[in-house]
Amino acid sequence: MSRRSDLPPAPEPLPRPVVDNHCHLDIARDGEALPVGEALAAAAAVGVTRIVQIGCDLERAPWAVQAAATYDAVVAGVALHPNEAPRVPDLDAAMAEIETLARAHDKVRAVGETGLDHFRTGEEGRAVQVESFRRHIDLAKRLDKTLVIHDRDAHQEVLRVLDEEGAPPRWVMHCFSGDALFARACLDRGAYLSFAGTVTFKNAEPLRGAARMTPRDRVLVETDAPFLTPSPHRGRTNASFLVPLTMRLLAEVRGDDLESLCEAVDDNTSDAFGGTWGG
Amino acid sequence: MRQKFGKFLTASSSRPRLLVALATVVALAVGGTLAGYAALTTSYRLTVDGETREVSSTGHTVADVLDSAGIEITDRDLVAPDLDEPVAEGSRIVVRYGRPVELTVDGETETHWVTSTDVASALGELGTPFGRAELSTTRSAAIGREGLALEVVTPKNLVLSLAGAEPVTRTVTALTVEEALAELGVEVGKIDKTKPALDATLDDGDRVVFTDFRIAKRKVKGEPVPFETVEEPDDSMYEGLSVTEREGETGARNVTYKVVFKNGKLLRRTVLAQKVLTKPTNALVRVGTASVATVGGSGVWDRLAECESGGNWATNTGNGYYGGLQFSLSTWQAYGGTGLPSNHSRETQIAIATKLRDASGGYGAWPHCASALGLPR
Repeated sequence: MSRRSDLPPAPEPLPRPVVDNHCHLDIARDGEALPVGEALAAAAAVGVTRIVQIGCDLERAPWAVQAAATYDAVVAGVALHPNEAPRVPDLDAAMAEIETLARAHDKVRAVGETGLDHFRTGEEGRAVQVESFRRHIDLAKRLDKTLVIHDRDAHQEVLRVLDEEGAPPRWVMHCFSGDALFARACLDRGAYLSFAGTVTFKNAEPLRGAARMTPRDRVLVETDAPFLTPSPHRGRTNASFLVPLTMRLLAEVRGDDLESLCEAVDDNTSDAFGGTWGG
Repeated sequence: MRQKFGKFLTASSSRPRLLVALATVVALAVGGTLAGYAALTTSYRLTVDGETREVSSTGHTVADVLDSAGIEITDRDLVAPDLDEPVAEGSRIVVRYGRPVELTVDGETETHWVTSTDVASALGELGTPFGRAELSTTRSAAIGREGLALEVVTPKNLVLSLAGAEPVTRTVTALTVEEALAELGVEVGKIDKTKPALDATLDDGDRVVFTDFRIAKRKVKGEPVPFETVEEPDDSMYEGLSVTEREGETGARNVTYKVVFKNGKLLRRTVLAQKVLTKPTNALVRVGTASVATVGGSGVWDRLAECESGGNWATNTGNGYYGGLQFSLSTWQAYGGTGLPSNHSRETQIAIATKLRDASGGYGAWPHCASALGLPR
């Protein structure tokens, strides 16, 4: 709360509403997190009217469920993060708790973020990570939730596990970080590709290539707030109200009309997360 | 100005001018004698305070003649020719009596003796004509033998800040702040303020600040009355989340204000009377207070306790390690713990553990479990 002044200024509002399909309203990057009511109001003021709150450890997942139950604009995803999975003392017990939370409210629309992270988890943790990923895929399918995948430096491994388990009907590649070729591979498996602030980074040309070739009915946008703040505010605290910066860049690289791309993203997000929500 | 005048008063000799006046009279008298009658007559022309008459005397000096005429001279009076000068038939003798002038300049009074018979001459005689000053009498007013009280107010350059305007410099012939403002046409009301005070005496170069205050009544009908937001802590809801249980509603009132303007600008507003038409309804918001255990929060301690002791905060197996986080007694005491850790609550054990962790910069005190849980050491 004390750090409001550290937030970047609000960008120009979008011509149509969109959804931030991946953020962590409860995580404070610097100082205290903005109260949810204020974060939602700031986002809505620039056209970001709905949010998917991701709670991906045993402490934060209940928070996400309660946030979804409390606010019309919010739905939740719950999971053990790929980097969290190797840390829990008992994976069976932890998964049981995630399943309980996933069933706790019909506004828990997603199981995620799960997946693989070869960047932060070393060799010794990878077996548990894969096992956790498999169980989350199974959970998403059993509960008919959307699977939200975290993939960091593990593109091929993620696809291999997904192929072995069989992808659920709705799945989202969160913070898509591959090139056009990898995008093709994901799309062939029914993915929605979610683009974060990283697509605005100077050195992200391969990522923009992927954004360019993604069919319009498969594009999503997200912040992953408070991380991955888009240009020109890279390095500062991210928040859902900065989605317009990423949306404008996506429209530009794709050669899309901004308004119609917003409409597509809004519709796609509802489809990807099992139907619309909000007031 | 006062300073200069003071110097004059102390140096106070109008002697040089008096001598010039005397010389003139003597020259006239001598001229008359030479042009006049034979030297053996004993009739003289005596002018006292401008009135001339003929007097007779058998004496030979001015003093003799004045004696004969019954005129007493003190050293405050002016006589020409000098008292011991010889006289001849037809000589002219001039006497001017000294008279006191009680001169008050900008409030400071001193008495001077002059022989002039009108104000303008007297001021000339004193060497202080006060050309642009204001006098309490006309300059042509006569001064009798009994003397005169004369008040003089000198002109002063004042720097004036009037009712918030930029300061201006004006020359004002006034003794006090009140007079100066009156002269400038500034009406000072009862609640207005001046600095210095109205009755303060002015000096040249003084700064005067006049602050205008105005009080008025203002009636406002149907003024909105804002509602307050009452926050109700709810420990069944997480921090950061809140639920509006009841929207607030603005009320309305008719209100009479006392409004104070300072130099034309609103200074303050106080309520004199009000009538509430509709009361506001406070908004009621439930605010979550349940803490989310995050890395560094208590969640990590529960996981650590799970690993160390199976989550049994009261355990004491007799192996020298106590409680959920398996403190040794020496470590427990080193960080301020008393008694046995296992007899203390989870919260107390976590509090001591937090001190230990912060002091050692990580979870190295629990090497095995920290490693198992991937905690920084």
